[in-house]
Amino acid sequence: MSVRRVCQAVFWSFFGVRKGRDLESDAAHIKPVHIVLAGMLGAVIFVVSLIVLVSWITH
Amino acid sequence: MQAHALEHEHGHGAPSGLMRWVTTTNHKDIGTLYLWFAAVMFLLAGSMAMAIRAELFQPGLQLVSPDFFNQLTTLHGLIMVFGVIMPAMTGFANWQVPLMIGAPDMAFPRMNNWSFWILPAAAILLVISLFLPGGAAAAGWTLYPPLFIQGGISYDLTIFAIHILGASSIMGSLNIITTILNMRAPGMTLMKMPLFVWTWLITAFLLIAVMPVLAGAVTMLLTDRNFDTHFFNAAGGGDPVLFQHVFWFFGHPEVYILILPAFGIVSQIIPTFARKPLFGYASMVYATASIAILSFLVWAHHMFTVGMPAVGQLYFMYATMLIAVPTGVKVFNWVATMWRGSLTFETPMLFAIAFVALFTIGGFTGLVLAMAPVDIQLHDTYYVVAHFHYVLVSGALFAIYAGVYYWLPKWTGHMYNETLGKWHFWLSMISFNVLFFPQHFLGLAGMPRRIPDYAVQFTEFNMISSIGGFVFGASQILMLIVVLQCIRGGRKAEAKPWEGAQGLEWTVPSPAPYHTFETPPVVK
Ligand code: HEM
Ligand SMILES: [Cu+2]
Repeated sequence: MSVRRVCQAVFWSFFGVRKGRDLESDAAHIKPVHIVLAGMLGAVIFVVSLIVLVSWITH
Repeated sequence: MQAHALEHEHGHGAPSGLMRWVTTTNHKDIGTLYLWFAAVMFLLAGSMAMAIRAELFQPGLQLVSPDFFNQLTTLHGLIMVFGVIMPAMTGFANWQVPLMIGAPDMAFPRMNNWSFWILPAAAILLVISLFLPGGAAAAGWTLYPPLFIQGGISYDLTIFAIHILGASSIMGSLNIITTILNMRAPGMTLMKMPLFVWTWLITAFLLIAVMPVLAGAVTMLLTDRNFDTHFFNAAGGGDPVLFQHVFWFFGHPEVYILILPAFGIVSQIIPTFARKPLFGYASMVYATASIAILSFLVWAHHMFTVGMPAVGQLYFMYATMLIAVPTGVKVFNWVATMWRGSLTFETPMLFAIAFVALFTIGGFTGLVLAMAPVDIQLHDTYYVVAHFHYVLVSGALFAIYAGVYYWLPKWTGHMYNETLGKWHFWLSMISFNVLFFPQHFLGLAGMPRRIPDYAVQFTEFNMISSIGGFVFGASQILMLIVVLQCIRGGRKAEAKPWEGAQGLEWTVPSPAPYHTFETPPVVK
């Protein structure tokens, strides 16, 4: 459950939106290190998927 | 006023007079030093802007030589970024972070002293470079080679100054991070921290990540200039475009370094004067963090014209546009905080509202520039100048003004003169737009930036812009008067001068005593 939680939290943070209630449970259940790692992983996924998208557009 | 507090509380005889300021390790003293340093540098870089606008009042060359004009734009940019906005924000951090998290001081007080006191050295280097043979650096605040490699001794001084400024920022950031992570009062969990503390925590990480990159870039310039390396010299196998990549890998996160603490200040002020808690605190924290991460992934939107494969252009275009999403979320949250609040419009709130409105305009022109085909037309025109002044002057600077008016009662123990404050606001607000809005039109019509002369069809808008500039410049004297008046006297400020204010800083008396929270408060 914890991996999913972290991924959810990071996904919503890229969008910049998070419910206060979810945030409190995030704060209680997730370690900051996990957030940082997931955030960087999220950044990599973000870059790779954009690059795939634009290479597909320009093939 | 603090000298007197000092006598009462400092049994162990701190030095007085000038030595007090030189040797101080007190976060409030150091905060005050940073803020005054920023104010002095603002007058210096501001007078350069006045000279620039005077020269641009009419086409043709009237007042300054073209080379001196370029020295003025270069120093104006460098000093405003590194000597005004950044030190002012660090001044706020020094004053407010310990007060807001209930800490007695910063984590490394001696390093704090040192991070401030190397700043004047950098400023002096930049100022004396004006008087050296060939004058100051004239290659723009972006320091692009090959021009930057060809200049005289003052270019080396500029590099040295940037090294010093970077070292100061890194030390400041280490201090801020350690203070926030280790010295919070019992009960002050991360998710209870005021938003200003959050934005500074994230900014400090950004600073630590990118200041070494800038240091690397200018060191490569230094060795290219003096030790026969060829990092940026095509004739020696290097590439000037490499510099642009390295510089903007620093440069784009840097613009968020300038604006995130401003977001923090505004997020403190709007809830106070709307008498409602900040809408979406959690999403604000998340949005700030994601802006910070994304800011590393968009740098080449400054380089669409250097020649880039279509894939690269599209990637940087899409990534840049996506970064506007969390920024938009923030604007939405500020507006939602004001929605149906019981608003009052004291000067800090006026500046904060102007921030929301005008920063948004700057965000939108950023989106326009993010479109690669459009940017190829607009790059290096006045449209870019208009964009970044909307985000930096009506963004970062207005937030600084808002913060000064907001916390001045806490710092000095007196209320400032509200009438003068309102005059300062309205004059700044109107003249700012007269100054910079026409520059969008100039840019769209093709007027290049960093040029002392221009074609006659640009005359009217330049005249309007210059008039706005002179009024804006003059209005800032009002701010100085308000602050000096407030330090010297005025209506006594209560511990909590703003009805709707929340937070630990308002639980200590005004002026804040020299030492606060020696016993940590408990946050429920
Ligand atoms: C919505 C967010 C933003 C977007 C999409 C954006 C986009 C851009 C783009 C594409 C450029 C390059 C224009 C060119 O040189 O042709 C640019 C330049 C610039 N932006 Fe932004 N920007 C945004 C926010 C900001 C913020 C918040 C700041 C500072 C607080 C800022 C400061 C600057 C500066 C200083 C430059 C000019 C650098 C130079 O060439 O001297 N921008 N922006
Ligand atoms: Cu940028």
